[in-house]
Amino acid sequence: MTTRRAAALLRTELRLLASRGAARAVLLVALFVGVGAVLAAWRVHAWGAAGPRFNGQSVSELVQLDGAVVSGWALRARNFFVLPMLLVLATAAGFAGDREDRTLRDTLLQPMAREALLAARLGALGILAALSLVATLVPSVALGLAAFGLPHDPADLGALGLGYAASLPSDVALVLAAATLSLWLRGTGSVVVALLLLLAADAGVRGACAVLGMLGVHGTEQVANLTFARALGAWEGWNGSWDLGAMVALAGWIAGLGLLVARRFRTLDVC
Amino acid sequence: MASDISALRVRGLTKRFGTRPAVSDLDLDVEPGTLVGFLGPNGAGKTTALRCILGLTAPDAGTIEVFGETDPVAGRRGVGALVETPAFHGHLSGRTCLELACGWAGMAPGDIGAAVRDALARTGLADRADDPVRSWSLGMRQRLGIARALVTRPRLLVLDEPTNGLDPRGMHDVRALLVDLARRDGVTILMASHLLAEVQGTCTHVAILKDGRLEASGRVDDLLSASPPGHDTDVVDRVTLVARPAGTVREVLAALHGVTLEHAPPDGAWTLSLRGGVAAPDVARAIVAAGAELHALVPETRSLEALYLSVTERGAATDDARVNP
Repeated sequence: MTTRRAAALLRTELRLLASRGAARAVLLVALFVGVGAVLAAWRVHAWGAAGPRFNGQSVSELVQLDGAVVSGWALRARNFFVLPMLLVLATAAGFAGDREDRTLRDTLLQPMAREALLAARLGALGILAALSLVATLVPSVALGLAAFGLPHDPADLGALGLGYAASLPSDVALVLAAATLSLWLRGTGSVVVALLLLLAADAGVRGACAVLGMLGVHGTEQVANLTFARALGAWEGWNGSWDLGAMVALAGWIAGLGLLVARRFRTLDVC
Repeated sequence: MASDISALRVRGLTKRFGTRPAVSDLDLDVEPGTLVGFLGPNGAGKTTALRCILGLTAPDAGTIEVFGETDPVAGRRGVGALVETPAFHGHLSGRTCLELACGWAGMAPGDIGAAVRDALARTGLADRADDPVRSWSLGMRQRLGIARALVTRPRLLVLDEPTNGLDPRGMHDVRALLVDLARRDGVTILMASHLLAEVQGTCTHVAILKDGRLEASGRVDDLLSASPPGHDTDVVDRVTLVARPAGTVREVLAALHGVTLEHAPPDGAWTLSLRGGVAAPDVARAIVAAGAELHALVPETRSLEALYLSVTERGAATDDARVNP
């Protein structure tokens, strides 16, 4: 397939994705989180010494606010549940939803390789995830710097940028997980429920590993590091030290899910 | 035919669901420029065969060539299709749905606008093109499905029940459009349908499936002029005769060798079978020569429905009806 053909497919998929409510919600929520983090920080700042206290000290004095800190808040809020679930919904709409209403069948009537359509559809979702990160990063950093100034250590801004960048592979893994489930299930709701159940099972594995570790069983921590949710949290290393195990696990999940979804999509009977 | 290369050549196509064969060893040739009716009872395997041809379902065995191309993606470049009830993203306008189809098909951006306008105009949807498809009637969506099949300007159209859900006017318009596409633009059309009158009035060829197997195929005229399976093959013609007085006519007919009176209702519209070299003009001359009044002598036209019923009911006894193109 030529680059021009691939670009045309990606443009078409982006146009379709942009028309979906879940995709628009991803961008709106991402923007809201970016602006909202600054407003929340401004509120904390405005409390001053008379505001809520923690260990006898006012919260305003405890928290050293600057542009990087505020944008870091925004990143944590962005990666917490709601926006990832909206990404899952957007993915499920593109696969399970289109299977359910048979638009996937009619799309596949067009002369293109299934692998090309899959790559374009996943590529469009990846671009959506990247845009949502930008939609959070830009307003939170710009408004945060304007309101609270530069961090004492300018390197904090670099670390923050790495945190945002590292969130993208986590989003990709989540999109691939939702796409994989979508090729076995019909309907966006069933995909969301199945993913939540799998994440619950994933948490169960981590819990079991913790219990076994306390009982003296060796190797349980390594097993826990391989779980999906732990791998999805690899981005959290930006604020301290990067967890190489989680990053490797995330790469493994992306590769495994990618192969699984590609194999399934290639042979899927579309009726 | 216009070309040595078939528009569609299917060999040994087999598809099973579990142990149940949906399509068995199907051979099918569709020549360029023909309009082929793809017929068969419910569950005969028509839709499964079409899905295999269109790459929606992987066959268990067999080969499919489209204009000589065996690569499924390259082959489908010249194919437009409508499978059962067409599906659309309902929140999008009809125009956007067609533009997306062009994008997936890899049309150059500069060509898309004109192609979409042409497809909308041909299917009579230009007035509602910018309304969300979810607000459209079933018939309009069906026409949009046909527009989507046409928008990439295919050389082969594969249509599954294209007039499904259309009102009589819409059915007439779609039939006229298909005939126009075949005659004026040279588009080859393979059309599955249960509407036999529609197929007889539209198609040049038919292929009849039963239990996943091809039972009959060929030019409509050839199949209809062939002896009906299970009937006396010596009979060359059947005619309906209206003539008076009945007594004289009966005497004339009795004197003609090779004429058998099959049906003689009181109103005098008799059905005769002719064999042994006797033709309808011989009957007419004899009646007039005997001084009787000849009101009508009409050769019986065999309908596609009769052929279809004989093929699908008799199954293996249909070899007489098989006339390959």
